Amino acid sequence: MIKTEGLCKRFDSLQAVDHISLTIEDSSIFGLAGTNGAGKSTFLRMLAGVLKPDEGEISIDGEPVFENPKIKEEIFFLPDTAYFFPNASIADMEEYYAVYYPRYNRKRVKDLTEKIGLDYKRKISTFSKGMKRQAALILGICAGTKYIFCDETFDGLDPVMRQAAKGLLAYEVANRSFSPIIASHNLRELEDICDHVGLLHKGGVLLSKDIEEMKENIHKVQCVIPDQKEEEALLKELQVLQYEKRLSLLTMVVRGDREEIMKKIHRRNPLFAEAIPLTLEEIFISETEVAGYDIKKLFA
Amino acid sequence: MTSRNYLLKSIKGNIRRNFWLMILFFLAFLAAMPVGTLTALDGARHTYRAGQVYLRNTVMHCAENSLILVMVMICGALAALAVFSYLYSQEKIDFYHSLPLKRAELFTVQFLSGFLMFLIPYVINVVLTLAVGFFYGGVDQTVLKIVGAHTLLNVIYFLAIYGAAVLAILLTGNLFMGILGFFALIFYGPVLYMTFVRMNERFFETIVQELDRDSGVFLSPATAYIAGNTAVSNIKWLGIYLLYGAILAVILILGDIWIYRMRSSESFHKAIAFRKLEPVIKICIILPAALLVALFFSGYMYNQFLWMVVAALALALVFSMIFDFLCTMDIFRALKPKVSTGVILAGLILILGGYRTDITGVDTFLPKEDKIASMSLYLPSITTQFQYPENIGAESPSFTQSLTEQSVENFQEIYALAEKGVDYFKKNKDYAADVQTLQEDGRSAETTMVSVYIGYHMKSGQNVYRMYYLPETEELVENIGRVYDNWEYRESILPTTYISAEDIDNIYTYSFSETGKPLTISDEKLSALIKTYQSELENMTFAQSQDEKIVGWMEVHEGVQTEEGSMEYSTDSSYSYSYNLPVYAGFQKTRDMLEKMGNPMPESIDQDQVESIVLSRYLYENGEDQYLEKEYTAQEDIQKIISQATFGEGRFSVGSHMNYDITCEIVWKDKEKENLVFSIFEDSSLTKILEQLNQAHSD
Repeated sequence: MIKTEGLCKRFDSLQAVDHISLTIEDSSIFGLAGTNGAGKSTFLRMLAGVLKPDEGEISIDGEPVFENPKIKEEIFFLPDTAYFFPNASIADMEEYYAVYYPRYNRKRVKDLTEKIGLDYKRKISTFSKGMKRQAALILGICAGTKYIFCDETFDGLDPVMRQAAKGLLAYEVANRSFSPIIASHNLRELEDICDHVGLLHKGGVLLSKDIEEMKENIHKVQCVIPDQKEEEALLKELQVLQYEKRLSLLTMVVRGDREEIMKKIHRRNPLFAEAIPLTLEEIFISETEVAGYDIKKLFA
Repeated sequence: MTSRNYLLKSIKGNIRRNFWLMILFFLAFLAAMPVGTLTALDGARHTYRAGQVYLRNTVMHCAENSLILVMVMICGALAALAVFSYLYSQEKIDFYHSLPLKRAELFTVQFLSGFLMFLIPYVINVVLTLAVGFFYGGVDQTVLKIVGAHTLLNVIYFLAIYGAAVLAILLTGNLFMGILGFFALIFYGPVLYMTFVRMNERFFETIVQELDRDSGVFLSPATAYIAGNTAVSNIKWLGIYLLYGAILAVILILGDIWIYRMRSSESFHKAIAFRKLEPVIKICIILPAALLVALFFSGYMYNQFLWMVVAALALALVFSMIFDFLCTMDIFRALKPKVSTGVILAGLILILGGYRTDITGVDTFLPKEDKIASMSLYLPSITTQFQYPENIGAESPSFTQSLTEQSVENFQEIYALAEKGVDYFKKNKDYAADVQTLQEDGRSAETTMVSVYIGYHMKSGQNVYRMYYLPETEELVENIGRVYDNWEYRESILPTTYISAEDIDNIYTYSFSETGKPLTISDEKLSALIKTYQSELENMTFAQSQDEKIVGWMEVHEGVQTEEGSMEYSTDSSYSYSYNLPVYAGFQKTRDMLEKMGNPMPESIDQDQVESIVLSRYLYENGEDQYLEKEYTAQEDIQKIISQATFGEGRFSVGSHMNYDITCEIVWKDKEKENLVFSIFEDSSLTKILEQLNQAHSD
């Protein structure tokens, strides 16, 4: 388990991370969302023991991470631009990592690169940006660490590879004790893989919640209610976080139990009523609006 | 756990990744060492048909090749850059600092990698050089010792310079600043020292700084390394340089580890890695830099103080802006006033004001007698007139030797001289410390100035050295006479103190009657002669030396063997050395012995043999030197001149009655005999004769 308490980091006059307190449970995929400059990378660097916090504490499995090789053996950090030695191939990098990560699975590196279609012996410097990211992810996953911190890892991957990469992470989570933390400025990239998401803004945490939990309590419904008075009564009756009416179609984001909401709508004699899936972005919009933030501006 | 032999594997990996650099080092050393030795030896064998001594000297000269020094220093900088430049890149820092290693462990891996990248090619080339030397028969035990000493020196100073280069990288955040930082670390000591020395020279008239020059070598690894390379043949000094290099390397490496652990990972792309150090570094660099450049600038402005102040302040502002710009890369922020700039300006004003007013009393330094343990004195007007055996190291002891090695505990008369020096300085605020300036001031026309070097050896252990120019008054000459008559002082400056009769091979005598006549005597007689001469020279008072004629001198030849224990380059280490010992008219016993030995030194010139005497002089008139010459043939004139004849060889120039302007040359009746050149005492009997000379037509 990763736990941070009042974590702060300042770069000269810029407060990059401002009192972040988060708990990340094991064997979950944690998404770290936020705009550019929100402090995601700095937060991950502190978690990886690259940066030393100015204030606050980080504990990973109950131990501090900075200057602690024992804990760092359980962490693999994949920065947004991964570094490879000049002229190194995946094989060379794998050999290097294997010196430092005791459970490094070299055979799996070879298997995965073959499956994905990367040349194991080719110089990484000749790879495309996307291929380099795939190579970095494979090298990281095969390190056998308990945690992997991915900073904008899916950025630059084509849709097929993105799904493959997500699949890889999901497979690892399912088959061993593995907890990826994925930072991204794009909520859509996180929604279909993460089961827990934290939202950072201006160095602080706006919210951190389990996605399923959020989805259980917030719903998007569309309906057409011919009677205007019935419609107004329905809006008052439901805990509406957001609504929009186009011609006669009313679209609402409503907090509460799905069955209860649908019952209430049906009581108002709708011509049409259905619940539709919420995107992570919509959940965040709703949640952050409640918290007093305008998320549309955050992700504009 | 991380792989147990991660250190070895990591170093191996690092070396493999930087193999190109190792090959570069190898090729550079290959060209400078084995190939250089091969061409030198082959050339020596074919061109000079040299013997073994020449061949082994060639190998040793190749080992001390100064090009190797330059290469070692460059290797130090490049190796540091190769293994620690990742600190300038965020990507690389993320990579390295996220590895499960402590900072100190990572440092060790990188540092050792860089060291081995130098050591492996260097040692291979040392072995190849020796192999080439063996092949040509130019290697023996001495060569192995010399090459071994050079190898040790090069490795130790590589570590010191490499450590300094790593420190420069750790303290900075980008390559440009890293390079500047490296040069600053290497040259800061010498520049600071030069600034200090130049400031002292510019503002103080009496300070003697040459005595501290040796310690200045240790202010930079580069200067110590260069000095160490030239000192390899001297075991004592080699040991000092090796020890210094080793201590410096250890300090730098430990400092590097400490700073590496302190350095935050986000320091890349900053100018200075430690923000709090910025103003400190700025002040430490700009303050001496502004002073030094202002010193040079004001030198072109006739050393005017006002120009120096203006230049120093203006330069400090410009340098501060440049430094701030390098730190911020923002010209507007660089132009904003900073506290550190104010500190520099204030510091400059304080330093220049302090120097101008001699706030510490450097020029008027005169400690209380009870605080002085001993004093030393160097009078060029006396000491430089003597010549000494080779074992004293020079024709005459330098003022550094005199002041550092020859102290007098019964120093009251030297103290009196010091008082005169300080007193004269106080009364002459426009004191000019060089004779040229005195001449320009027109003061030397009527005054002969005497230079006096004094060393104060304080009970506290401190040594202070001063030099004064004093007018040659009767009082001063008497004071110097009393110093000379103090045996403790005289013993240290007389050449007889250092003469050993066993070292003497031959003696040739020069007198009014014969020149360069060899003395053919047994060793016992030679020993007795030297003993007699020693006794008479040591018993001669200063007053006697002033009044008595020098009637000849003994030219002593000695065979010299090089110092034992030194790793000299040649086996043929003996050579001949000669020096002169003046014989005064009052040295009766010496003269009697010489006469018995067939080499007389008569008190006067035999007038019957003289055909004429030619007097000559240079006269400075109307802005130019005129050469005047007159031949005297009248017996009366000849008699007057030869009655005042003396040799100038070995005569003290202070309080001397000798006329230094006139040169006398005897033309003998016997045309086969070589003309004799001598000097004369100043005497009223010669007034008319000298007037005639002054009226003579110029040549």
